[in-house]
Amino acid sequence: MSFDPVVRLADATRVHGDGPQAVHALKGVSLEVAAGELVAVMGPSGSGKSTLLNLAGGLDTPTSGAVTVEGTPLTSLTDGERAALRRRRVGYVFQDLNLIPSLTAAENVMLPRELDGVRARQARREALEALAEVGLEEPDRFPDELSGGQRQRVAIARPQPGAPRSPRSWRPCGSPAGTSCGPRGAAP
Amino acid sequence: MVMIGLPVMLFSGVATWFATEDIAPHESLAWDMGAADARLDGPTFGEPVRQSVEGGVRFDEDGVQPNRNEGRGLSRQEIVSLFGPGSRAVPSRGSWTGYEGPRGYRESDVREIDLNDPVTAGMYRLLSGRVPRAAGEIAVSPSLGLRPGTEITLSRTSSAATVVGVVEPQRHPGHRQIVAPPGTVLADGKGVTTEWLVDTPAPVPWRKVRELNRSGLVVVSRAVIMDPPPPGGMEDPAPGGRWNLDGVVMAATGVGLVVLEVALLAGPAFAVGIRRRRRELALIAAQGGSARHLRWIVLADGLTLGLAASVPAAALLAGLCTRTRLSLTRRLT
Repeated sequence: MSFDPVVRLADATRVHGDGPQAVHALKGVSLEVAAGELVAVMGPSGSGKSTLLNLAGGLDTPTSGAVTVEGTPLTSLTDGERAALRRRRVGYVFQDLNLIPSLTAAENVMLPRELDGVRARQARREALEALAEVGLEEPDRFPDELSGGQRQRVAIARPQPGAPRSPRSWRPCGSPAGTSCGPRGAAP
Repeated sequence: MVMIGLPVMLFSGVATWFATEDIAPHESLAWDMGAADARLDGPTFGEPVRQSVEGGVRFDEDGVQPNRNEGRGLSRQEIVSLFGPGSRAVPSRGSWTGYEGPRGYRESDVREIDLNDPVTAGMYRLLSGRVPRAAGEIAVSPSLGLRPGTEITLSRTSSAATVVGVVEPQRHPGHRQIVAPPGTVLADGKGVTTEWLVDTPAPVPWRKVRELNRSGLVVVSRAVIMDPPPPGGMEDPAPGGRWNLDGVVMAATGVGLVVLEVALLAGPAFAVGIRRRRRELALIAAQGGSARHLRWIVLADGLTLGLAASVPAAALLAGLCTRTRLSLTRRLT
């Protein structure tokens, strides 16, 4: 099933705190991202790039306005449903990669699938395929034992295993410094 | 792990200590009655009695224990007739005697029992020499410190007796005891208690025990000990249930306190651990972990740590206590 646009933000606002201490991280942003489209969000530090990606990826909900991912309005979802959406339809490649240090490369890639209830054996098979696709040959090493480039490849492979291979699927790639985001598999 | 392991270790140690404090009746059957089917304790009471499975006599409602002195001893024929044809009764008589040995005057328990009779198998362990067979021969327990070949003079008979073997009474391995063949030392019968080891063709049921109780006899039956009747039956209660409410309440309080202590000690450590892992948990959440997933991860963490700490700790101290208790029991009793 395909959606166009894949991500839609309509007048999305995010305010942290309230009263005099309230911080307006995002003010009435509207955005549409089509399938296969590469979008770069740029701006100075504190301009709300991370907040925008947090909203678009379902990590956070807007204070007002609407966020729709593949036709699903996020504001109508429960926390558990949003978590399921993050597992199945959204992938993040963070600038500092954010691999879980206590899990091996393969386990890092397996994690979203395992959380989704996929059996460990199948999740591992998919993870190994995804890691092979990005050219990583040491799936059982911990992040500390990998080079920077290898870690980056693990981070890229992480959103991929078991994902629908539709060319229209869109995956935002957030980076706290706000440099880029792009389609599935693209390096940040 | 130490915070969980230590209290669990202490508790399992204390629990094991008390659990092994008493030897269960079925565990000490061979020590108490050898291979016999039943053991008849002492003379008859003058009146019907009520006894426990283990042979304890119950106090009546006024708190007055039946008076054994009003009763009388039974002869071998009487006992055989009580248990029916094919039965065999072997006496085991005990008293106290002084003796003159190589190290001067000493006192000791003395028991007349035929250790050659297969019905006594399991009651004594032969450590050296042989068991006594004839008048003038005795065996001694290790704590008397006499070797086979030593001659002592028993004050009861004022005659010399030769130590022919060292035997360990299995019920009380550290007990001072002289073992002599029947009728050789305690002939005068003063201050002598007699138990009868009875070998019967069929097991002695609880019904039979109660029947003998009505004649004023106290009987310990192998079959009843191995398969005790349910306690507290309306018509024929077996007094002295194994569990009482106080014990259960005490145990529950103990377990509760330990759990509380573990929670108070280890709880803050877990809380700190979770704070330290916040970033990792947040990363899992970013990958699609819901609140339920995170709760499971933290719980599984706690369970793994708790089990890894408490199971070896409990096993370690339970084993240690059992061993200590065993060696202490052997040394002290």
